[in-house]
Amino acid sequence: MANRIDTLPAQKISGALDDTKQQKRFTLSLSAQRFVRFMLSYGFLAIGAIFMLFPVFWMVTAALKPTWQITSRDIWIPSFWNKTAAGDSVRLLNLWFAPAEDGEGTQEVILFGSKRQYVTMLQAETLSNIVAIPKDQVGTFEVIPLEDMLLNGLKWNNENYVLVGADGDNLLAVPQAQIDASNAVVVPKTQIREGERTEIQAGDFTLQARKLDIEDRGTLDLIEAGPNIELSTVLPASYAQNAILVPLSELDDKKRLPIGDSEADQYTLVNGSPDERYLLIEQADWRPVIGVDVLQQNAFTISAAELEAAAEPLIVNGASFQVGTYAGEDGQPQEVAIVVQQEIQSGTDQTMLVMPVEFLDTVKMVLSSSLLEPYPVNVDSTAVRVKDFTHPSVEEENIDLTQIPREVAIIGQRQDMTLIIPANNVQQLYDVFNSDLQRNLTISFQVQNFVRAMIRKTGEATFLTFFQNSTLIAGLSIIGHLISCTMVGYAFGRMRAPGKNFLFGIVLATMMMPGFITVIPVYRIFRDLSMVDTLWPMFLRTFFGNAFLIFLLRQFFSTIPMELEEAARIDGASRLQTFIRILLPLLTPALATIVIFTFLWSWNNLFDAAIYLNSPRNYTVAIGLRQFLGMYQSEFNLLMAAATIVMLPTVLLFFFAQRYFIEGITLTGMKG
Amino acid sequence: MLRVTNPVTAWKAMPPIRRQEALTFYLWISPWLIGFLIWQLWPLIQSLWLSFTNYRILNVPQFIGLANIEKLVNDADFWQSLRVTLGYVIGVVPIGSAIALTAAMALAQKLRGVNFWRTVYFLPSIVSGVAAAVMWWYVFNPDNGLINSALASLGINGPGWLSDPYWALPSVIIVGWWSGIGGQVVIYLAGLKGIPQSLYESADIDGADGWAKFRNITLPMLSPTIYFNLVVGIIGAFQVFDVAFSITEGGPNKATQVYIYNVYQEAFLNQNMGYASLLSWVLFIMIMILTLIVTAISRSRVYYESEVEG
Repeated sequence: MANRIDTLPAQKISGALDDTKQQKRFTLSLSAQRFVRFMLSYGFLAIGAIFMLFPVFWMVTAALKPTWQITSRDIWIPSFWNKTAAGDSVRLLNLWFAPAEDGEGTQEVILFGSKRQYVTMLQAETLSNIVAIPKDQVGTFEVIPLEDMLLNGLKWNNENYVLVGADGDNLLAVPQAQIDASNAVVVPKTQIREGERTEIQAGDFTLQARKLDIEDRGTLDLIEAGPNIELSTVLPASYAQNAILVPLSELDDKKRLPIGDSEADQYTLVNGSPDERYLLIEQADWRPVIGVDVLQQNAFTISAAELEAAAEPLIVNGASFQVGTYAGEDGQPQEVAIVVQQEIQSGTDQTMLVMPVEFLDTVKMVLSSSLLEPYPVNVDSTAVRVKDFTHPSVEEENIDLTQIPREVAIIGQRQDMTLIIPANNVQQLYDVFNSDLQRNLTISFQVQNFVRAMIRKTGEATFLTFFQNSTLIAGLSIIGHLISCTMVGYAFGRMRAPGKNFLFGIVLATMMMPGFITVIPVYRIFRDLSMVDTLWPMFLRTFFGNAFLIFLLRQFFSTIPMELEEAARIDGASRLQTFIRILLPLLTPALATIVIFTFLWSWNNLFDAAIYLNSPRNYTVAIGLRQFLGMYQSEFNLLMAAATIVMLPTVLLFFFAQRYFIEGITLTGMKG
Repeated sequence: MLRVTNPVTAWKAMPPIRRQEALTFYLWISPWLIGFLIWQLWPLIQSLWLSFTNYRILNVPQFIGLANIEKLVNDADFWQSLRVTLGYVIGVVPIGSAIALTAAMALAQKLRGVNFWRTVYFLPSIVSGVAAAVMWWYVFNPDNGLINSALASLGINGPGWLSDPYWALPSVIIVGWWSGIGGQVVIYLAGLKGIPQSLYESADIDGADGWAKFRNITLPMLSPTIYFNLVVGIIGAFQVFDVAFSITEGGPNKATQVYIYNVYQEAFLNQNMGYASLLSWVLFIMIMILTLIVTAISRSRVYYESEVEG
């Protein structure tokens, strides 16, 4: 070629140069192609990685969430809900962010039960072009948002209309374009009820309207044109410190009165002045508790006959106690309160736990809902229900733990209590859209969920038992496979005997044999051995080897040079000695693979556990988790914590010994 | 393959040292040999026999002829479980294999962080089992789950997934992809590494484009690996059990009544062990036939290097 170019005319040479240029451009586009291919690869891998990792992320974050957050779809990161103390009570109220009343910035607020409903209304005189639409011709109804207002919209002939009334079988509507902020207004539902009804003639139609006084606009004829909008009433958070805890029975004379820029139910106190009104923040079930140490030092058990009961109950810090006089052993009468009343048992006197009234000062009321899972403690031979407040089962700290002892006893009756604040000095109170309210959160991980999941009862056992069982089974299975598979693998890899190839063919064949085919007869064998509902069926078979691991070991043994072993044999070592001294140290990677795969199979073995293990004390983590799911379906955070812990050992093992996993898997694949 | 000789004469003809080695061999493999006889061969035969009996755990099995087969033909649960399982196999094996192959090929082009990606893809296959099922149950939860929460933030109202008869099986298939792809990716990756680079280089010289290289080099060279993954995938997919057992219990409306779960129910909940043995054998035979079909198809398509060399 080269010498031919020499003879070519100049024109042709330049053409050839063009060719090289073109080639250059071609390589450029090749690298562009490469770039595109790389990007596509990364994109595909990233999507795949999201698919692989997001469920795990979801599980782990759920495991770290408090219960309330599980049902809040919009919060993805585990958080703590910031709270403020409600007066002197131990209750903590959730804080929210709401737009400030003047519309500038946001402020911390508390919500209270009160809500207010509003309706969008249209100024009657501004409406024209009212049309009557037969009901059956309307396309679809939908709510149309207009600034802060909502309108009842409908579609007819592909136009948007706003519904303003009805006339027989026809709906009366006006084109949506007619309506804007100037002729629409949002009015509280309570105000509408007070307005005088009027009928407005508009063209051929009659519309129902109300005469209402609207601020800055005067008295107007207004027509309802929207659905109810429910707004939450909020109070600045600083008012929480004024809160007082009183029994529900203390409240009187409920009236809905205007306050701030809204209105709310207001009460007087039974024994208070009629001018002092209160806002109800929250009504709930409360229970009196007292420090266990106080109770243990001062309370004693007496029989009912020893007590001369008083007619009036004693009220201490909102808790009501039955009191009476106890004659006492030294003859000194003592005023005591009944703390715990024992169940009446036939043939015995009724006994009760009492305490001198002067020790009742430290009684505190706490929300019943914050008392989870109490446990019994004996105080002077009477069982008392006790709650440990640093116990991990108080997951949502909606009580102020600085105000109550670490361990409290539940004494006295549950009571309907209310948190109220004086209405007279409330300056600020207003309504906000629910969509404008935001929780005041701090990122925080509820690590105690893991502890809670571990100590939760599943049947008569806990996860700790399941872990013990699973670990024991995994350990025994590993020992079983280490012994049997190295022996058999060594024999297949190193020794010569008639029929060896045939037998190895069987090993390979059983690798492909699906396990379920032998399940029933094997179950029969274990039943005949009385091993059902023991751990034996879970590991016994590992002492007989495993086809896959035998195959693996044989491959390893075949790679070790025969000379090594022969040298040792010539020096007079026995076969067992050479096996242990020379070969085993070389086999560490193979043995690691056995350990890892055996652990993995044993840990994840659900089918055998489902068949053989019936009582919770024998459960493995796999079947235990399944039962846990059945029992605590709704406690997602605990379930996910349990699932995470069950996964953890295998994942850790994987990270420490990734190489062996990959090698093992690859080896099986390469065999084909 | 197997040389047929008279074992007795062969044994006598052996020198004593070989004879002793053979004895040692049999001693050393005895755990497996005994295990094979007790836990595999005998149960296999017994399970075939039990298929024709009325065995119900507590009674002595009695031969009842073809009654179990007659029951099988008229058993709506059997047909339903067969439909569900075939749907699962079709959903999981080919598509999962295609995804895994694509991922492995993407990884094989010397990208950054191969180990990271491989770990990410492989990790799920480690944690499969009931913990993964519980995790997915929550991911699929219609009210608070990951998927419907994500859809809700896009303004879409997601379906009931595992609790919706129409979506339940697809959901189980998604879990199948999640736990099954990783192992396949690792195997494909090793297979791709085994293809000699020189083949691609000479194809480059011939001016072959990407698709041609895939079609004429990657696919044929990788065919043994693909064949292996398909066979293992089919055998595994027919035995899917964990999600059906721990989460859906075959429901809703038997939409996830997979075959092995049906066998489990018949054997251990209804205690129809004879009939369940028959069900096991039917599945066993089906798997064998399917594997043979895949083998037959692949025989004409799978390329083994040794065929050329040898």
